[in-house]
Amino acid sequence: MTQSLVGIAVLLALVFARVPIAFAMALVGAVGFASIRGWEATGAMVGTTVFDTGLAYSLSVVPLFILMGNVLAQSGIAHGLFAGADRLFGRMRGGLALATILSCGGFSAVSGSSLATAATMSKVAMPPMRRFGYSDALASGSIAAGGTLGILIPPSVIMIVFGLLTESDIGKLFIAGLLPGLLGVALYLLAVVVAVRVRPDLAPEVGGVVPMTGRDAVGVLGTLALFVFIMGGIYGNAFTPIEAGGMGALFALGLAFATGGLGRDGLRTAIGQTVEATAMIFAIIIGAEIFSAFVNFAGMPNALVDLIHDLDLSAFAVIGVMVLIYLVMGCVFESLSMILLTVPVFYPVVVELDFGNGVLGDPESALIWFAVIVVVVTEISLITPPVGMNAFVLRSVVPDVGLGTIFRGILPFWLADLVRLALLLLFPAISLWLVP
Amino acid sequence: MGRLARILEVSAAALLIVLMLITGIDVVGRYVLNAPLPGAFETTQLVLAALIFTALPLVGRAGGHVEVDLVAAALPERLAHALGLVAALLSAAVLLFFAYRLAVLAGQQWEDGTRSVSLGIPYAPVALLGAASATLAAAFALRRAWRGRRGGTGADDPR
Repeated sequence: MTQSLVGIAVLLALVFARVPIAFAMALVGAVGFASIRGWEATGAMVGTTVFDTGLAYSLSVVPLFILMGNVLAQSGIAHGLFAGADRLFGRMRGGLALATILSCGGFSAVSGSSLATAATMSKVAMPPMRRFGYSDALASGSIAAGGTLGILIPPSVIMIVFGLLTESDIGKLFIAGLLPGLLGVALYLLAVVVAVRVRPDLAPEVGGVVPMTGRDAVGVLGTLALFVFIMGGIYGNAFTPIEAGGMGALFALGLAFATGGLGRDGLRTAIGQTVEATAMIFAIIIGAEIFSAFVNFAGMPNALVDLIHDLDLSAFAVIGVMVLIYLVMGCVFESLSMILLTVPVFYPVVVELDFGNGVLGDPESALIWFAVIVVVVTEISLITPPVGMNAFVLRSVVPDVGLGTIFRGILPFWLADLVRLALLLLFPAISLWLVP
Repeated sequence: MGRLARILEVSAAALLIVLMLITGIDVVGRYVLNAPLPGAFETTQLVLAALIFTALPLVGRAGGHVEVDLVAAALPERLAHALGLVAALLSAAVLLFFAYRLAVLAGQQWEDGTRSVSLGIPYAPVALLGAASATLAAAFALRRAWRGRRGGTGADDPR
């Protein structure tokens, strides 16, 4: 346990010294592992970890879902979703912000990456909101927050990673995320309605102002079709959740070419970004696996289970502590490394917890519910200062809006997220209702 | 090294497209023609490994690794630059260790004749590709730090 804690402290120090998170985890993991097992064993472990992670079949879904998202981002489909959602809300006060939330939810559902969503939607939704006199805070806040919605709505790369770490059924994890994801959309919409009711100066009463072309309509229908295709394919057993990546990417390419929104340059950008993001994510996965090997050998998960037995904590108190750890870590860590670092340590604990005889009675249900909680907390971390990544993405696209303004605009959505987290913690049935 | 990076970019792009097509052909073949692609599983594995090893040097070159520069941003420029150099040295050390161990692994696989199960493709060249890629990534990381370019804004993440 002591070794693990020292390791975590050194890891944090390295991360703050701007060592890339992937290499910091690998470095601390390898040195720590060597301090227990010697360098010969460490060398063998590192070599096979790097090689086996490269050859991990299940992870092939990661580059392909990212490609799907990047193709959609380049294809102009986001504009169609925004225009369609704008029609829906008509002349309501804050209509464009409502449309932003809804189209962010729809786009991020099929793109699987919250940062890509924030980057794409800010190009689509920010200009009209500014043109029609929306406050910069509300406009940027709704995009940054809306971008987080998609990691829970299936298909979700984070859920796949969680499933691989815990050997859970990825299909069940996907379906579990659906209702909590829609709850998130509903609460964000409510947050906009409340915000403009309290401060009418945030948004003027205009709506139905974004022209919608025939191509936009095709984009909206196509996005819906893509979602149905992926989910239907998985649940109809036409393809596995892993194969859904390749099929989704092919569908997205077909859709993008059909709407004529994807040119040569767009395709090149989409592929280039996907390649880099893939290598970056795999570097993090490799680093996290080396670090986990060390922490596991140092006996951290078992020590935690014992500690919880000794302290005689209730199951919900333990989950509460974990949520707090995530909220604090989320201020500094990037979402994927946070999940890769914590889930291998936490999930053996969660499986051991006694939740009584309710919906969480069996360990599998408890783990699925925990997955939803972890993803929601990760979403919150994306918009929490000081390192809320979505805010940074927005700042890079709209440089003349300050970070302070963006975080101020995020506040209503951040509060809505806390409400959602509380609801999901209090009513596990929301997460488990659709799970067969 | 610009030409080398270009070759890596094009190869990685081609591998990504192949990865997508393998799944597509396998699934469509399975349902429409009742003939799944033979060895789709391990072809996917090998293409994925090749893709990652080809792309790894590109990330470091573009400064795309996820970093937290909250502290560095608050430091005076010279100190931040020195810190960046230390960070790059540590990254390069990790990458070179990866390269060394992958080369050792490749040697073992070559001696043992380790091959994929159904298509019998030898593993050693893949591990060797990984070793070369990690070495190149280390070189890119060092070169980038030496030139002292700043790596984007706080906790920059290119996804």
